[in-house]
Amino acid sequence: MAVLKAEQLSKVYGTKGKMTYTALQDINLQVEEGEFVGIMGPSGSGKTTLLNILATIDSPTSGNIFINGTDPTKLNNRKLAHFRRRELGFVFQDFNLLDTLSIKENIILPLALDGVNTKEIERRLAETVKWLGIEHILDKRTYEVSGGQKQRTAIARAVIHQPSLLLADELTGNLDSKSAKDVMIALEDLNENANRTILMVTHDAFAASFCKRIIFIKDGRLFSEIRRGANRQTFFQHILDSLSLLGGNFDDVPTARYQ
Amino acid sequence: MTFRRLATSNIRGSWHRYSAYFLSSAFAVMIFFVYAAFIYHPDVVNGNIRGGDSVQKMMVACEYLIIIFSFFFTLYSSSAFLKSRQKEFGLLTLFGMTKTQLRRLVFYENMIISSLAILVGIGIGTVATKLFLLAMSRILGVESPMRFYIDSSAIILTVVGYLVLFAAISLFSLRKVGRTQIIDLIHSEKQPKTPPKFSWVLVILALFSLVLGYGLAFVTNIELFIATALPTIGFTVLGTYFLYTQLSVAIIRLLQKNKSFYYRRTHLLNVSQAAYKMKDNARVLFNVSILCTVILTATATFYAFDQGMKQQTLAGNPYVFTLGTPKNDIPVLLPELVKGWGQDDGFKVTDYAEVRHVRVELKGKQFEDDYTGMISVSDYNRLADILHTDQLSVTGKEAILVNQSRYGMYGTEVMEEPINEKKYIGPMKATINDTEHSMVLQVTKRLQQSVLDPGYYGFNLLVVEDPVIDQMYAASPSRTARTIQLYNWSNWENSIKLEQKIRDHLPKEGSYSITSRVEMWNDYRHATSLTLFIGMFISLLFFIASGSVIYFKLFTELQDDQAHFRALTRIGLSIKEIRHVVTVQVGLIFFAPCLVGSMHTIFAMKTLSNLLMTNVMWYALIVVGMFVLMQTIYFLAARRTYMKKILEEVVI
Repeated sequence: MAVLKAEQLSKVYGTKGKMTYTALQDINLQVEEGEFVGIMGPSGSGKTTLLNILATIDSPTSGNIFINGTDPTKLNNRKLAHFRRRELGFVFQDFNLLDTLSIKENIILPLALDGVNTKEIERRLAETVKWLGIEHILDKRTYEVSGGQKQRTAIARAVIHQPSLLLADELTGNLDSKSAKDVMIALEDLNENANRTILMVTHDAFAASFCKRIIFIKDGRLFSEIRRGANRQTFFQHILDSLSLLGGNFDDVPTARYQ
Repeated sequence: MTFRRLATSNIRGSWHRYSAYFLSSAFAVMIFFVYAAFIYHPDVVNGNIRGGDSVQKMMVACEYLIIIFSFFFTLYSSSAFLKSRQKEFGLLTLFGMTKTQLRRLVFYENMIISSLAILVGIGIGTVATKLFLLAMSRILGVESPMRFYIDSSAIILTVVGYLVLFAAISLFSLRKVGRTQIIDLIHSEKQPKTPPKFSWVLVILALFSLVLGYGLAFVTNIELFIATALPTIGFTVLGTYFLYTQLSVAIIRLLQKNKSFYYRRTHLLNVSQAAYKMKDNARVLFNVSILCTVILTATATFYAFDQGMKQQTLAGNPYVFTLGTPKNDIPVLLPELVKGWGQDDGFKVTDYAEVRHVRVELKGKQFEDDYTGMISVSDYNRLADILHTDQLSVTGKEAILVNQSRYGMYGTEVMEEPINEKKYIGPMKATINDTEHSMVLQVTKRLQQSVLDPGYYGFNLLVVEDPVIDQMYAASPSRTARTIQLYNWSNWENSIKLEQKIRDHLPKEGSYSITSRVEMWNDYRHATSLTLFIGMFISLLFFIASGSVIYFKLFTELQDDQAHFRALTRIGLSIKEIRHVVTVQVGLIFFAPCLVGSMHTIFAMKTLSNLLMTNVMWYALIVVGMFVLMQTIYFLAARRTYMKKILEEVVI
């Protein structure tokens, strides 16, 4: 079953008659349940625009999106917030954790906002943090834990309400290589063992090598797509090859700093 | 881009940050200017106004108060502004701006805001002066209203005074700019927030202090006041401080322990945020609370005195003008004369009565020998007619005792034991003062009613049948029997001229007793009304300034809060929920000091009630109510601006 379906998505910036800029053009995309998809592309290729549209925080100029069968562009503001809260989970480059809350409170926030009862909250919390290996830091404050732990906390917050789709935006961008690896392993584990559907935008070939499928975009259009075989090392090499084929500027995040 | 351009665009860009400060400064300038205009007004300077001299002295004192307040307020605000701009300064230094240039930039900005504040203050002040002079003329009872005139000295004093004040404080606060390392400046906002902590010992101390302070305020009385005044203030202030720094955190921690409450919807955000907001702003909230208490208590006290005086004037003077003359004299004043003068000046005599009054001493086991007057029932009934109260009737040797001591010092009802009415019923002997002539009368009833000035005519009045008074009146010497003339006329509040005319007409020698509501009204108007009126502006200034400190505090963390809410929308917080969370946050820091200050005031007024032995709580409630209302308006305005800033960043 397709969790995400995007048809003929386009995004044009600028008003009629003036200079316009096409950020996305005719993007067709389908993500099945349990998939782990990466989106890569050089700076300015439109990946962040695409993610924002899929995340329902931006709307397309034309085209349709269906998340779990619902078209979020048709919802009003309040319903959209609720839709986002229930169907989607987000992980950001800069974590977006609230430093007035403890790690535990950060994680359970979506459930609390949704009015889930305390018992259920505790149960789901225990289940979620086990996957991510952060049981021992629950009572700490955000400034007391490492970047990798922060990002795993953010992932826990993004999945605790069992969304249909987890969206991640450059989630390793602010992490050192060791933390990035830990986070990606945790994410891979969630995908494989908890059957979470994940869509990730990244610059980072190493992070991308954990995905099962990678879609490359360039100048707002789909460029190519590769799938992972059994070996992650080989896949990593494939990604690097594809990127060099894709060209463009990847300077902002060094691609080959791992291994 | 020139320096000045940079400075102006800086101000324009962060206007929301400066607006409350600007408003407060402009308001301070305005009040200072209005008072100065009055002080330098030719009518006041030349002494053309009755009582103008003392008013001028009072206003000069107020001017000092305003300047001192402005000094501290500006000092606090400008250092707070600088602190909130650390990061910006770090960037500017990074781009190669020298220390001197940076200081010049800040100085420019400060002076632009200050000059604008002075300009706006004087501009609005000019209009306000017009109204102020009119109001003052009315309160002072000046015949021809003071003409609208602003002396150049007033303008010069205001402009120079405030320019010097603002410039000196800017220069003073600038010494810190450019001293810190760039890296510290840029990271200044990134200091991690440690969770607020509290100690149980201090929480108990806070509760103990507050309870003790309030308890002392509640039970104190005239004998104890000297001993309790300082401890009451000390404990309350101490308790208030720990209330914000410790007790608030403790309460929030307890709420957080209750998971089924804490984990319910936005409570998680509200409660955790509240702990930080309270602790981070504890010092400001504490100061504002104390300031509020002082303003409110002072205002409520003046208000209680003002209203009390007014009530007392009315209660102590049932009639506009009362004249008592010894018996047998040739009438010194003819009512026709008064009516004629009244007509000339446009006052209509609405009531006139003449009653006979004999001063007697009461003997009987139920009476202490009170100073008592005796009047006839027909005279009483005529007065009752004027006062719109019940008629009485007595026969034979019966008498009705009318108690006039119903009103306390400040017009409100005296809090005393309910009088045992029965106690006074029974026989008693009335003896005319200084004579042997007496009569045994039967008191049948006792009631409370103000009929004649109790100072001259006795706290108790015996109402007897007309033949009794005829007999007693005839038997008394002229010292103890009097003829009393009572007048009521229209528009008496402004009839000091007519009153003066009557007084001038009376012969210089002779024992008269004059009770004049007109005179008392005029005197009290000079004293309390004026103080209240002038003080009100100062209270208003303090109120606006204290609100602006809170407002500013709110906006220092705007960027953090914007990021906070942006993160929250991403995880699906709806606009409605954001509004809710923002309202709770802003409401908390606006209403916490307001409510604490109000509570303190109510207890302070309880003390005042105990001291005056009258109940002034009603006045406290009116003042507190007004204050809460104004604070609500302030809160709504602040929330609106703040919400706009938050939603700007959040809504995509």
